[in-house]
Amino acid sequence: MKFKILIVLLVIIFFIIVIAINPLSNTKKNNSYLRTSGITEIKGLNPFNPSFNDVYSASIQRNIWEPLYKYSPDFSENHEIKNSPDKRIIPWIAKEMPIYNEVDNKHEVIVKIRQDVYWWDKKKLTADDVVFSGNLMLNFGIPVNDRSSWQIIEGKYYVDKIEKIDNFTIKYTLNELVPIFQIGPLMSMIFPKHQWKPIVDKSIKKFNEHEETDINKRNLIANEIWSVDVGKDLKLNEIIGSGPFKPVNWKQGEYMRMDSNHDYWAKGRIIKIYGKEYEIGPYIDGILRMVYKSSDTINLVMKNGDIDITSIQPSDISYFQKNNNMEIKTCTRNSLFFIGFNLRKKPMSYLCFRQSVSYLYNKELLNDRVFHGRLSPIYSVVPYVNEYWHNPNLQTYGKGMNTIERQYKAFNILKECGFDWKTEPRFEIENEKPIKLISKGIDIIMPDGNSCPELKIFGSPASEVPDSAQANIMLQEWMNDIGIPAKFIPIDFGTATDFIYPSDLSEPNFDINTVVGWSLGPDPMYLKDLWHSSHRPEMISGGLNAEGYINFEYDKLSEQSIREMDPKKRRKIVFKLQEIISKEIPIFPTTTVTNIQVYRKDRFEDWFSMPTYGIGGAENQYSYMILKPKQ
Amino acid sequence: MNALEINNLIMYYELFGGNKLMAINNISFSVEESKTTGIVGESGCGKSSIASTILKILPDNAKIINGNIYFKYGEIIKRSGKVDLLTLDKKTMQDIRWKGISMIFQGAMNVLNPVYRVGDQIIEIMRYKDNISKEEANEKLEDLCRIVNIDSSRMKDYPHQFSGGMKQKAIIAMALSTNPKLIIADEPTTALDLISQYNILEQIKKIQKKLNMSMIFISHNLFTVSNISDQVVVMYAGKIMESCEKKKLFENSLHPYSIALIKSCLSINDKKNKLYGIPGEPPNLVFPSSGCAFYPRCPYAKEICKKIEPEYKEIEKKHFVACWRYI
Amino acid sequence: MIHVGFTKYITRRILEGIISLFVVITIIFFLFRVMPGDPVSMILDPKMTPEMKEMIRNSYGLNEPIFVQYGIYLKNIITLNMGNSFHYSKPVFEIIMEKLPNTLLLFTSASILASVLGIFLGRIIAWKRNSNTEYILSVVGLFFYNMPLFWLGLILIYIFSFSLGLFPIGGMIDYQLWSFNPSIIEKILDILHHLFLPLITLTVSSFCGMMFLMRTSMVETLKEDYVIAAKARGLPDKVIRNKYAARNAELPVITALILGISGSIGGGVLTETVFSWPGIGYELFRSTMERDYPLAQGCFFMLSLITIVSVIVIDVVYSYLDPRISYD
Repeated sequence: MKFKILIVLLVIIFFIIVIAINPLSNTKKNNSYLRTSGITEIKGLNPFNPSFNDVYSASIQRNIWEPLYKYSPDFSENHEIKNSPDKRIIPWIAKEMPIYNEVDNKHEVIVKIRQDVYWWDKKKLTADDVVFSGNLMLNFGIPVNDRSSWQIIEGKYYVDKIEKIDNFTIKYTLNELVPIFQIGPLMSMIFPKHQWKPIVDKSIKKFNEHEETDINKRNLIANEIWSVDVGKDLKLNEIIGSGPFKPVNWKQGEYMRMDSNHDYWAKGRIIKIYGKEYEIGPYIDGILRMVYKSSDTINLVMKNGDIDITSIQPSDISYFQKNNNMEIKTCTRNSLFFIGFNLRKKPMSYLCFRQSVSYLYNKELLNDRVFHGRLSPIYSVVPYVNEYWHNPNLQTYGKGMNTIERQYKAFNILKECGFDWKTEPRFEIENEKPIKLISKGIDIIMPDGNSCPELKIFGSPASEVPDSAQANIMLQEWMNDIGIPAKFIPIDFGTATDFIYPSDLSEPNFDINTVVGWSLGPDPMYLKDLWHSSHRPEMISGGLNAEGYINFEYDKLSEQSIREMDPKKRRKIVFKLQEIISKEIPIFPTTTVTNIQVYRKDRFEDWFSMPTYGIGGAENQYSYMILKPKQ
Repeated sequence: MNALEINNLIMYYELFGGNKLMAINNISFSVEESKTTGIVGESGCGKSSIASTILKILPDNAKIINGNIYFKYGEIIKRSGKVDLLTLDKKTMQDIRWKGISMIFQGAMNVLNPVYRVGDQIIEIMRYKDNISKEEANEKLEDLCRIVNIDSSRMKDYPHQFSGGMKQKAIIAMALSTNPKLIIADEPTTALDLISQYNILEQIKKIQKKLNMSMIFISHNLFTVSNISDQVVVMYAGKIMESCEKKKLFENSLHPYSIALIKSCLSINDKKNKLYGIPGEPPNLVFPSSGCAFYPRCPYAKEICKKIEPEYKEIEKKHFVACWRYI
Repeated sequence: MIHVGFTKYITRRILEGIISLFVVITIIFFLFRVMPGDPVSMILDPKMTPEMKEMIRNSYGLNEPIFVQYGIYLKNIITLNMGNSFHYSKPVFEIIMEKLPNTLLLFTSASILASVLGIFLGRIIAWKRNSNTEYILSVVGLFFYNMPLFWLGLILIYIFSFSLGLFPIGGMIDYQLWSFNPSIIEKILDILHHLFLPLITLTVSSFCGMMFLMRTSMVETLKEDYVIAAKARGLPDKVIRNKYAARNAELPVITALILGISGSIGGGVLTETVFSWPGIGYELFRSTMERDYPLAQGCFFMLSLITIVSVIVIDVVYSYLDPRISYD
């Protein structure tokens, strides 16, 4: 009996202690750390590692190591500079815009850098660091994630060499001058030579005696460098960067704390955003990033006031609108969701079939009823947020039409190009307008006389992305209504990639794919990588043209598009490329993500939202630098 | 004077589907003080149910609907004279158990808790029942060991380390540990070889005499029963067929069932004779036929046996029988 | 009970364990290779050129013939190094050692709590069969048992953390507190503070299984001769219930408890997700979904190892709890 009483007592004491702990942590109230959160953790800080390709790792890395040039904070929204691609870029570590010269068929680019840029260990950032960082790419291909912007042809750098002219002047010699030079080499991160040179030298030494081909040796060395565990092998407090935030505390999968660099070299610099001038800080104490594993939890944490900024679901808008301390801002991301057709198979190979599916897919309705504004309709493979490159004059395939009208249209397109039915779908027509589907079509027959096989629509399972699964079910029904035998197959991402992007040079095996979505960079160079005929997975392992699109005009134009230096001419080509895709529909662009962000305006002021790349919205580097705590 | 007296006891088990298994069907018998009453019968005739009914350790589906069980020693529960066990509440019954009536279970059963030492289990019951100190209990345990003839050092062993005979001895020791007035021995020797059987029976007899206890001895073996008992009760199909003194049973048994039983026992012991069995099926207790329960197997069956159940009647002193032949 | 026979027995069990472990890891290895989804082609990014993918594939060691990969894998397992995770580019062993204790802390304490509660309540309802107590406890237990765990977790979070503000909403530590060098006591209290809700959720949702297991087991033991004999002896009910019936009925529950701990590691992903608990279950799930072979293999290896060790532990525990068992 005594024993039982003791247990009960212990339990009660445990309760009291546990509940009483809360006030113990009083440190947290008196600071102005920006508290953010995410579902996924930061994969890693080693900037050279190709696995750390998530936006969160990239964002942290870019707060540590900075580039020569940055995208202007307000490009594509500011009309003054919107039509001038040159002005989308502003010098950061560089002092001014680069100077281009042509000497003996080679191009020389002179970049002058600022003399007031300091590393965290108070050493000056000089041309040596820039040359060293550039040579890491030329010699070892690292950071791997930047590599594609240093190459036009696979495996060949268009940058020939990088030399130091004086302590603050660098000369790039190029075999060919291409537009992505500005956003590639000139936007690559600059690393402190005095920190990384010893690591590189050690790696070189380790593999120098190996009996290997040069290319293998290079890869091994690169592998060795990107395997350095930043945070352990290279301790957090030993990292030398030049950026505004220093990582000080990190528990992977749980939290990361970055403290502001109060001696930031750019402090006091003025930047102009939307016509308003801001002085660069940072003013906040730092950034704390916590991982919560479900969006429901993040939602509660935000409502509770434990974090300062997060993305929310459309259903939560009304709750946060009621709170005067919060501000909601939507920001459309530069991303691309689409319906991909496997052009190798019938009936996807018929253009009229793809057109009719495009008509059937009522994305306006879906955005309204299913996605609730989370996925905005797009009509081009360059989404409208990327205003300079976006071609606004494309076929919309039924914008403004209702579902019946779309079905009727799709039916007619199919009929005109030779499709037949055992039983045709019947529509009730009033004033030459279809108003009702009377009976479904049954057993569609393709123009070659064969009946149409059941088409599998690959999509994310409802357990992962419920609204996308619902959209796919609706597409399936719309197709079934006019007699196309389609079936939505929920499939997990890993399995889907095996079918859609096989890595063993076999032909992709799918009918219709909605699983994949692309997160796009601001430059439209991806138009070549995604639909150039040489990028079919059966031609090259890792190719992304899963649809198997072959159009030599498109190939030629897309090759031109990545070489054309005149922005206006380039723009014309990019417009043309979008037009071709829109007409031939290897993929049908459907939606882009609209991010609904909510942030605390009572704790911080001078938030600003930035679209198109990175995490996007108000969680961007400029915002961190100019954000001010409110007292 | 009777230590225990059972009158018109009826008990049945309720089966799935509402059928009733009449385990004890209107039974009356008594146990004289310091004497032994033996109950004999085929397996399933309800003899063990009598033991469970007396101690009230029946399963949930057992229902007692009629009868009295008078127990002489009311003083155990602070009452004077006879008490009817069936009217006692649970708590009082607890006190009767082992102080008034204890039981020797079959050694083949798992009577001992496998996870505690044998000695501890005997000490436990003594301490609960007699409120004695650990030391006293230990001393008494030594005595008991001597009585039942077990090496007292083995009391530190677990039950599974005991042989069948030792287990049986331990169970006997346990039954004796609290000096009960009445012991019910339910097939205490069945699981043992003949020599152990004999030894144990002798011991039980000795102890009974020494401690002046009354006993109900239950067995399917007529010889064992007759060896130890003063009065023998022959049961068949939940009913008593015949009850008489031990001597009379062999000299002058009246009921055809008793006669058949004796005959079959003799045939086993006498090698010259052929084995004798009682022809026919054991009785169905769920759907009993009308009339005498033994009628289908009875060589002397008459028309009336089939229709009307014979009365259980005392035809001479201490000799009861239920058979139409003697009415 | 420990003597030569026992040591010999345990040695044999350990050898058997090693063999089954080997079989399990071999099956795991080949299962992952057969499973659709290629770790490299899952990194989909228009910026990822085919050449880069090839380089990554090489660095993952995926271009080696499968039996060479298997050999490396076995060598790694033996040295407990288990290779580097594709996802984290970190040694698998390091990751497991970081996350496993968190999971064990949560699930072991929850399992023990649930078992204690289950044994306690199961014993009551087996004893008082067909009573109101049994009815109420069964309904309450089944209610929580059948409630989806994540839902129960969310409801508890909503009530206790969000509305009442008594507990943190998620995580194992207060990241603000921890990044500012707290004392050890503060750290322990903070972990307890965070542990509370997931612990309660797990306990509430799983005690019912233990309760019914205990009930069934005890109803069986109640029919045992020694329980009936104990009743016949007129021992007090509590003694019969606790020392005779429950003591023997506990044995299967303890097996379930120990096996349950190893089982919960693999199945803990839901709890870990709802409570943002940095545990191994989530890693197991994520690494399998992302085809992070080394980490997934490592997690499964650990899981098998723990299960096999659990079985041996059960044997040892049993020899203490049940004197009938000897290993001669």
